[in-house]
Amino acid sequence: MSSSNNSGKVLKLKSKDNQIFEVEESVAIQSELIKNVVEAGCDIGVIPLLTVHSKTLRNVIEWCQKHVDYVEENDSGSNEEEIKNWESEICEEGNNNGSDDEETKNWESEENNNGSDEEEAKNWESEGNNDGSNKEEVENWEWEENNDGSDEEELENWESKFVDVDKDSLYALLLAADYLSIDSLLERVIKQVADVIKQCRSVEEVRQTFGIKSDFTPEEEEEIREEISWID
Amino acid sequence: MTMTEEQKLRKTEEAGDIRGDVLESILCLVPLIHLLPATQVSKSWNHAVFSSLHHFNKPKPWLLVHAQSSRPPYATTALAYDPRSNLWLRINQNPPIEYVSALRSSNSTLLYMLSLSKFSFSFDPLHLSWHHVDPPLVWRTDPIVVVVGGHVVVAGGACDFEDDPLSVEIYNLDTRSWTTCESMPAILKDSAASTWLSVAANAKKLYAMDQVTGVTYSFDPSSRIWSEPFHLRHDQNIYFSAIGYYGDSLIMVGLLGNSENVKDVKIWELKGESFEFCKEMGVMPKELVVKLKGEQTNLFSIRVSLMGEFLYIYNPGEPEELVVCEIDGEGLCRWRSLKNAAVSDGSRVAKRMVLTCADVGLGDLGKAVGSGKGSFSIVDSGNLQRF
Repeated sequence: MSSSNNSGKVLKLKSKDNQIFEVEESVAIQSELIKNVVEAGCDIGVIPLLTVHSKTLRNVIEWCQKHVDYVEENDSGSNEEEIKNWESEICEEGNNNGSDDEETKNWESEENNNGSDEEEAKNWESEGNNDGSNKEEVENWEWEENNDGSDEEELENWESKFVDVDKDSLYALLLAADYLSIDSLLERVIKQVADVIKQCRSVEEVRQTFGIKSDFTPEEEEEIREEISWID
Repeated sequence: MTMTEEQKLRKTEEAGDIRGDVLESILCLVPLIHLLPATQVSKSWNHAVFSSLHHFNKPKPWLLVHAQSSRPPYATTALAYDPRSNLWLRINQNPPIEYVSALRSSNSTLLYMLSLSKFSFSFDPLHLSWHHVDPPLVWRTDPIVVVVGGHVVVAGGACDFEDDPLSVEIYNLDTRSWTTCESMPAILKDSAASTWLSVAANAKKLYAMDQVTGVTYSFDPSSRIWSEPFHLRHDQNIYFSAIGYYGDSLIMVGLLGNSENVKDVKIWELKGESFEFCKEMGVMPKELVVKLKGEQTNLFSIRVSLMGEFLYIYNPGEPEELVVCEIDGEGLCRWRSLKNAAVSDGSRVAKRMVLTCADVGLGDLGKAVGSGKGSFSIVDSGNLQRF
């Protein structure tokens, strides 16, 4: 669970079928509609959402919550500071080896006659030079912490699962996202609906999927077929 | 309320309630080929499709790639790329087109095949309609063939034993007859074929440029006169160039440096009565030049297919990667690379590639599908979806 937002204010939203949902303000104002109501000071009591059914509203709230959580978890400001502290620690450790290198060199020049001593010097040098692996560690750590890439991917996967629902529910989400003016949800649902249209192989299938009745007369339908044939 | 009654309540109140704006945003993301059924769903959907196409995501010129086996029966695959939706489609012709000889093209819009007994050509957007006529008098292998107004101009490309390599014949589409006219200018005698010439045409004239020297001539099929030469290159470093029409201007794509060491690929717009005004429009990003060269270090030549604001540039020697240039509203070039779907890694069978370009609209697709002449399948690793 995310840390609660500063104001801690909770709004009451009422669905079309009269169910009340208590939602944190920070989550609810993902909806431009609700945001406007709050800013206009009209958020006293219950905010009625006349066209959104409770089942859909529940899902919409889940979406908004997830997006508020995502923003909080990925607040990169605090992460960067931590990295800097860690890095400077490593550098200090690394610098200690500097003095060891010096020692190695002194040792070499002292004992240049003996072949076996030289060998030993080399072995010693290579041990001291293992700072290399420390540096690698720093790099890996940075990559893990700063890799919003994988977090973004995780959100994308969550969003894709969220919109992978039956046609009726998808339709309801579309209308709710539009009515409530939630950009992120609307954008994702629009993409999903476009994909649904792409799967349809005939006019009838599109109509059935979206529950649309044709308002063309048979003659008009013929005309359209012809019109399309000749439009440039 | 029971569950089914609840569902019904939701359905009846919500069906068909998508706001026009929202529907149009959805349709922006739907490829042209899928918009066809959408136009017939209902009146509001019909309106939304056309409004969306007009205001938000207009159709963009398609690239058509015909990949033909070099041996009889010259099996050919026809693919099309729709840049509006970044989608490759396979075009299936019904009945299948008989490819009796090598498929060629000398400019962006026309495909032709020439044999001893027949001259076949097609210039409709999807190449589903073919004209089959008697061949020209002079035997030719790779002439330039261009439609100018109601004429099909066939020039050069004559076989070695023919007397006049510069011979020009015109086929009149209305009278369905051939006429021989003034030959091409003598200076072109060593380059009078589609291999060496780049051709641009509008409704009145054609322009033929020698790709190596840059010398250009125009021809008017009504007056049947070849013009004086134009010198369109303003940069001495160009070693190869090709032309095409862009509105009322000509566009020239040039390779600078030399073939072993190509420095740049640039695009110019040429305007004026004799195209004396030259403006550099863009320079191909270096990483795309590298892609164009493919596995070779040399870049000997390029072919350009151009329509509207789109240029498709490719290296005939390395057809795997194409370069696409889109000229935006402000005249700026936006570049990207495109993998040629007709080149599959598996097949190493020798194939000739012929590229053309066309303005394909919903009407063209509707005509093809409605008449049964053509059907489309989406080229996708997984689903093969047919229309």
